[in-house]
Amino acid sequence: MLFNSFAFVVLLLITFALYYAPRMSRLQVPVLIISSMIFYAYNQPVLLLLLLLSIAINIFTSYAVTYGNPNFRKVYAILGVVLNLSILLFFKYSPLFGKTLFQETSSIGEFLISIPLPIGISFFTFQGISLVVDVFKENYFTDHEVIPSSFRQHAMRTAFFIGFFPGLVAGPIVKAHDFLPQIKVKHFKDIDWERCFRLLVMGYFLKMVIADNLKEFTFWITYPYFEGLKTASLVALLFGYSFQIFADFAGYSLIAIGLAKLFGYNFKDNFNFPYISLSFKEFWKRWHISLSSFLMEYLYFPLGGNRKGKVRTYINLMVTMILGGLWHGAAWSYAVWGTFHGIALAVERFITDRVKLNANLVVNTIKGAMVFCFVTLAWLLFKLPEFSHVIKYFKAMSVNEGLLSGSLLLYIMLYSLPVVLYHVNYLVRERMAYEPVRRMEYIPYGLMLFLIVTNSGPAGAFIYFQF
Amino acid sequence: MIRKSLLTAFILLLLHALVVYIYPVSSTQYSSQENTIKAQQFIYGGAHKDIIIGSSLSNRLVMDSLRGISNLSFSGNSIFDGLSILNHSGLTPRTVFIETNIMSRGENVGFTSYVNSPILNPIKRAIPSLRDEFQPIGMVGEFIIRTLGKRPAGTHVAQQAKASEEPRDDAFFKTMLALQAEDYNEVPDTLILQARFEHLAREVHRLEAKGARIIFFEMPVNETVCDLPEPQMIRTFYRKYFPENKYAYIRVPGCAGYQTTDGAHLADNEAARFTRFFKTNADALLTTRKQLPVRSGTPSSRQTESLPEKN
Repeated sequence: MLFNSFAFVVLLLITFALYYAPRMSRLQVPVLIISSMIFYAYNQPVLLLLLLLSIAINIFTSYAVTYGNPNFRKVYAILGVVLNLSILLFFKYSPLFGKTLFQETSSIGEFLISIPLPIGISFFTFQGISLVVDVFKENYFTDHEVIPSSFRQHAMRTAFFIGFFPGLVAGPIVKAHDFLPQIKVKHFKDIDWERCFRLLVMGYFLKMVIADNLKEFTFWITYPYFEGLKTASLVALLFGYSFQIFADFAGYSLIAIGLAKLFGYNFKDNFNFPYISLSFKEFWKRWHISLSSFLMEYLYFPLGGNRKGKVRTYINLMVTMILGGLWHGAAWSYAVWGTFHGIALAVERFITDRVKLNANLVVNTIKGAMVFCFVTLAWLLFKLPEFSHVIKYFKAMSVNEGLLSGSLLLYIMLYSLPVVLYHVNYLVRERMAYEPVRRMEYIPYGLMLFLIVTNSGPAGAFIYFQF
Repeated sequence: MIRKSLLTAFILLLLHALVVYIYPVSSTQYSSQENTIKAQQFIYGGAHKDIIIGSSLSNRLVMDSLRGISNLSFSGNSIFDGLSILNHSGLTPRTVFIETNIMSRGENVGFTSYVNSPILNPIKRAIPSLRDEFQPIGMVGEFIIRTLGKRPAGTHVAQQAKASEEPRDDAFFKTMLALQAEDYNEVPDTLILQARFEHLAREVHRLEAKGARIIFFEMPVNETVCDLPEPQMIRTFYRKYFPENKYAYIRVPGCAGYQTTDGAHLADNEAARFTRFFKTNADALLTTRKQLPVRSGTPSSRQTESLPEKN
């Protein structure tokens, strides 16, 4: 179910009314679980079985880690992580294995390729892993604080944690230690309406007005259509796609955070103005924060992080980024995308260890532009998962010399401008001169609402749904 | 803050409605929006009694030469979208020309549910400024373009992005033609095709029950792909479901001589040439209307009527 669909609005209103209804406080969690299951099963009910299986695995293993035989805690935890990863590997990567290891016409190759990708699997399996690992490590809480001894209660809380609809299909990836302590009775009077309003208006604006319109222009990046376009058009489309993917995913994340907040739950920010980053390290602290922090916490640190010498640090960085790339999709181009970013991080680390540049406006502008241009070029691997098409795109860029259509550039600029202003606003908002603007913030929010009503593009699925 | 934002949005909506009332600049930004605008203009009062239903191939027909006929042909979509819109409009057409080329696509439900929406339709009918052709950013873009004198009103990015509408013979054309050939060489799944034709037959019978006359026509494509397995199979299915002794067809004697931009879509001048051929045949068929027996709810008895093409 899409956040921008009529069916979702109906489901949300009913859920909200029941959730805060008098004398329903004890049923708040079950109400949200049922609503989340309807949300997930709406388009493909059969996939609900997989979500329930994933939930069941995490209920049993996390409970066993907490209340089972203490000698087998590690075994239960490993079992939980392995089962979660097995589900992910089977459903997400079988087609990749099928194409890579077998002939597509062979029966096993055909079988592996035919396995459907369940929506949101990368997100909910990672949340499951976070639960099992957090409970095992007890880094953030003692197990008995958040895992009740009543199995029924624990099952309910785990189903809620993994299935809660705002983050179920495209994140943000919520970690167990952030979410479980928040589960308690919520009150209507505690809703922070202004914050919810800001998050939802900004989120829907980025998705429906910016991303959904830009996607109609960036459609031309598709093979073979791009081969008929001129160099300048190809460059403009690539930058347009960079703004589109940000608006799409940041928009989704803001909507998810706003919706969770309506029900009294706080998700951490998933984007923090990534396109102002002056380094690749900073970019990854600002882009898809819930994934990068998950990978850092549950992969990079366990591999040794930067504690085992320089060579191991570089290797750990590369491994984390390649796996992070593959997490995005079952195609080798995503691994290449991750490798590019891994190399960029490693090279940057190598240089900054040796060269110290003074931070001034010119240096920062050049650094920021370099990071943005690199990130933008790398997005092409997202848009064109066939690696040969990426090569053809670059070839077309170098061969099809010529100027672009003025109106194509104009509309890409018009739809990208709000994303630029969104970042500029962040950069200047701490300055004194900004104070009068802050007092009139209702004007941009009113404008965004107006544009949501009058200027939304054709509704499309969120890009990150495919991951 | 929330109240002030809502009030600001409301004021902007009023101002926008006023601007559209005084200076109704229609703008089309991309091809899927062109589809939406075309459908909305049809639904909100621009419909004629004679209607063309088709895909992007028929979208190339020069409608200035076909006055009195509405064109519900949509880029990237199929005849089922036009039929769905026609069905929901409640209109009783006199003649429906149905393109026979594309049967590999079904109805684009995302598109038709948007333009046929029972909630949005009455609102957009009552408040024209909320229609897609008057999107504020589109209007701003159109205003800038007109001010800079870059292009005449009415042409849009999608058309330009498709590069030239002139016939081509470069590497891009060859790639497109090869892909088109690959596509047309693939034999469609019989069961899927059967289901689509049964759907089409239901729609045709529904229209006939309302008294509409159905005329099928085929758009010419590049001669190298004209008779590949897929088009052949589609023609066979048409003959089976809509026999030529009962339904009128406008058929081009052959695809030879027609130049396309990508193997399937006619170049501008070729589209004009085919439009003349189509008009001559359509006029001839329409004048014979009264002489032909039409039975409501069942296929009517007609001979295949194709006139020679005139250049």
